[in-house]
Amino acid sequence: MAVQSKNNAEFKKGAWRFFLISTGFVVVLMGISLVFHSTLNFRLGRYEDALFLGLTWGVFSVSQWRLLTLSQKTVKLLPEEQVDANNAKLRYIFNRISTYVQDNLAFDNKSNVDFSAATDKHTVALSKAIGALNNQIMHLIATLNQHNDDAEFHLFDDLAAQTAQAITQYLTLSADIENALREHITQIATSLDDLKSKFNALNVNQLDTLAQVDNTQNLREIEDIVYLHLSIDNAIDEQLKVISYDTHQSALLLLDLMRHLSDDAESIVKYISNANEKNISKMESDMENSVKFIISIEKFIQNIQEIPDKLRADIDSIQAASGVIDSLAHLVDSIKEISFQTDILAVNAAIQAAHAGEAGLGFKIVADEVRKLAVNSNNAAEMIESGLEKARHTIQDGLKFKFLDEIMLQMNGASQVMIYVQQLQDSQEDMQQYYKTLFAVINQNNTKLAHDISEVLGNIQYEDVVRQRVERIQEVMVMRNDLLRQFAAQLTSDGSAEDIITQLNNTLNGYLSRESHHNNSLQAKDDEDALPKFELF
Amino acid sequence: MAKIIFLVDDSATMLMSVKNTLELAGFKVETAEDGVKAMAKLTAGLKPDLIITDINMPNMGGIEFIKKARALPGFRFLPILTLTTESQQGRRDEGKQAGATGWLVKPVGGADLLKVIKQVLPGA
Repeated sequence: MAVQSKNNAEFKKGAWRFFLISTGFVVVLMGISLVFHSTLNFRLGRYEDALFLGLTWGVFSVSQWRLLTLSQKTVKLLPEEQVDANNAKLRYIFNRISTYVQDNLAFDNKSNVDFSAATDKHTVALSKAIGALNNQIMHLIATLNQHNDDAEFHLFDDLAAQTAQAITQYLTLSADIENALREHITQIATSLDDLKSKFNALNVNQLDTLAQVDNTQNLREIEDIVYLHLSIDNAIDEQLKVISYDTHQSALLLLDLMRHLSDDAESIVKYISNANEKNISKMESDMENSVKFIISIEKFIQNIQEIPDKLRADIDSIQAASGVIDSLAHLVDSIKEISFQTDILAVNAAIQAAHAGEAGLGFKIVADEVRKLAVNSNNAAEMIESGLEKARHTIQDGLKFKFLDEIMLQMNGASQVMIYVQQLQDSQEDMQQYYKTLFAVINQNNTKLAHDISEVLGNIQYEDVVRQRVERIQEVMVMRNDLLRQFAAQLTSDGSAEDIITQLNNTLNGYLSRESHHNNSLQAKDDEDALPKFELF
Repeated sequence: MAKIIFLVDDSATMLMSVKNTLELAGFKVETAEDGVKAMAKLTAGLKPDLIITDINMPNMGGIEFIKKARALPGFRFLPILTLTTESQQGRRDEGKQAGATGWLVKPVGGADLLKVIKQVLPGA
């Protein structure tokens, strides 16, 4: 049993080794070639081809894995007692396969397969070959299991032959593809963008080895060109970083400035709306009052204008009344004079009556009565005079009071007007102050707005800076692609690419030199010795 | 009377941004897209108080334009500023030799631009 187990283990080990030797090399080689070519196709825009190659590689890997697992399982399922017999059978089969493979497989390193034209054909054929090989091996194992007790080894001859054929076909195709890959590596040079990452990983030794295998001169030139290309890409990468930095910074600045702008605009709107709410109602009532005041003032002015006419009328009536009173006074004087003469006449008549004695007694009575009349007349005249005097005083006093009242009334009106004028002036000053403050605030905000807008506009200049940088990148890329195209064309002839390498070198140096003339915000950020942004000569 | 600034740049963005900044600050702005068009305007009688020019322009670049403008009668002492992405000392020296008054590296914010303008245009 111990021997059987050992044999079984050896068998498993042998089976592993067989699969690894027969397919491992191809797996690795195909892996590299498929990755290279699927990426190449992808960069050349042949996405379907790239996908197909990728899928092929996937299917191939899975099928290989499945095959190995299956073979292991199958072996494990074998009963211990049959192991020796099976081992003998397998050794026989493997020998047959090995012979077939050695006889039929011819590695032709010089094979001139047009890779680009044959890629698809090879890929399809290879995938079919892989499928056929897997089927064959599985079929072989299944048959082996079915005929465990069968000692007829020749039954397996055909099967071994078919399997060997499949392996041969598979290995031949792989070799063809490998040769095609080596011979047409120039295609890789035309898609250097894609190969950048691959060649970064691939060290110089590997490239040297490749160069030793085949056309050393060509591969060295390709290597030079690849490295120059990578240098140009690195230089462009540096500028793209600057562009990205500038764009990012500019966007941040613009956002910040726009926020400021928005804040300033909002504060103006807020201020104006608050000012309106607070002041409009007050201003409206002020305006109403002002209108009332103005109407009152107008009335007062009208009154003042009427005063001279009233005064003139009053003075006229006083003068007329005085005239009447004066003429009445003359009349009183006449009465007094008449009364005085009557009295003297009565006295003379009494004297004359006394001279006449008894005859003059009647006359004396008349003379006394006349004298009484004269006294009464005088009394009456004095009463009239005093009445007239009183009347004149009354008229004069009355006029005087009326005039004073008028003046007092006008004085009251005038003081009221003064209040109205003061109030009008106050409201006007209020309004002036209000508008002055409003304009000051708006003006201040407008200055801030203008400053912010001006900064925003300044930042738009980044577009010009970035555009110029992109234009320089475009220029160097066009030059590089032209040179690469020339190089690709030259590869089909036997000429040297030395001149193209020099030109590519010049292109790179020219680009670096042009770029160094321009402001680099990323470098300027850290460089304290950077030249000033503003310099007056 | 507003001072006149003559702006020469092939980038529409630059013309738009700087023109607006200067107009907001109260200047009158005239523009041209390259040195040839700028010279045409100057010889046609434009008398700016200040010229601001780009360096890299099609048809006629800034250095050549400055040289030609300086040669015109009445332009000997006119302030001429450059506004460019170029910042290397060698180019600055070329500009100075051609007759530029100052060298400004893009981008320039509005406040900074006005500060420099006030330095070369006293009383502006």
